[in-house]
Amino acid sequence: MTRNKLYSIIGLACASGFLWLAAASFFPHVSGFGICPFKHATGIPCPSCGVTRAVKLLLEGDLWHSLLMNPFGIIVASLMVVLPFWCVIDLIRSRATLLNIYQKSESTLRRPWIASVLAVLVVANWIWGISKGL
Amino acid sequence: MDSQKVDMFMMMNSKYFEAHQLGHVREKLMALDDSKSSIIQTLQFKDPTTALIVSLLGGALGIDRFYIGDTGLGVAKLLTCGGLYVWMIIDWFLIMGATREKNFEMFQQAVY
Repeated sequence: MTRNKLYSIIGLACASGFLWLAAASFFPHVSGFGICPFKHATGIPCPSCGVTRAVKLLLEGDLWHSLLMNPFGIIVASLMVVLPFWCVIDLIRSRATLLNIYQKSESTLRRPWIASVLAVLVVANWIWGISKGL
Repeated sequence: MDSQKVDMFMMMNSKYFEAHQLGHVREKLMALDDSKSSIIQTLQFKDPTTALIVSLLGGALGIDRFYIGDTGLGVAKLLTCGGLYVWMIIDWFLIMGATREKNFEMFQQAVY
């Protein structure tokens, strides 16, 4: 993973995320219809179902209901706010601090006990999401 | 390493690398010190075909990216439901090449 590759992936992902958020805000019936193909195919929500609704609740300032909708929403929202600025600052100062942090956190996440704890959390969140009927 | 060992390694592991990387791998191995040969021979490469199967089955949850060691991208895929399935479908075609790139990175880290 080179610096420019990572930063273009982040830029692309954040741009499409903001586009999707705008589309979901201006055309609520589109996102209300439920875009998730996993949910359409299997009838049960995927682990990240409800993230758009959670981010929208967060934008309205309703932190508690956003957490109840899907805790992933807060992670996604903070990444979407922080990462683009970090990328631009890195590019201006021609450093690679974000790349270094990314690689360090990757190797941290790969340590077995951290990975298994996080996997259990994701599955627990998924089961909670299914029982909420997202 | 002597050329017999190198040939053996190339025969067993050529499917784990891109075709254009094979020449480089071979050169590196020929120039490699004998003390490092045991490390090279115990490297566990990821199979691109397995990665493709994992991608077809668990691509929506980013499991393919976790499998090849791209943990950061795996988390991103998990949080966005496979990039709203768009990224998942793109990855069906990219994952075998990405696996080979990762194997090459692992090889280079072991050699240097």
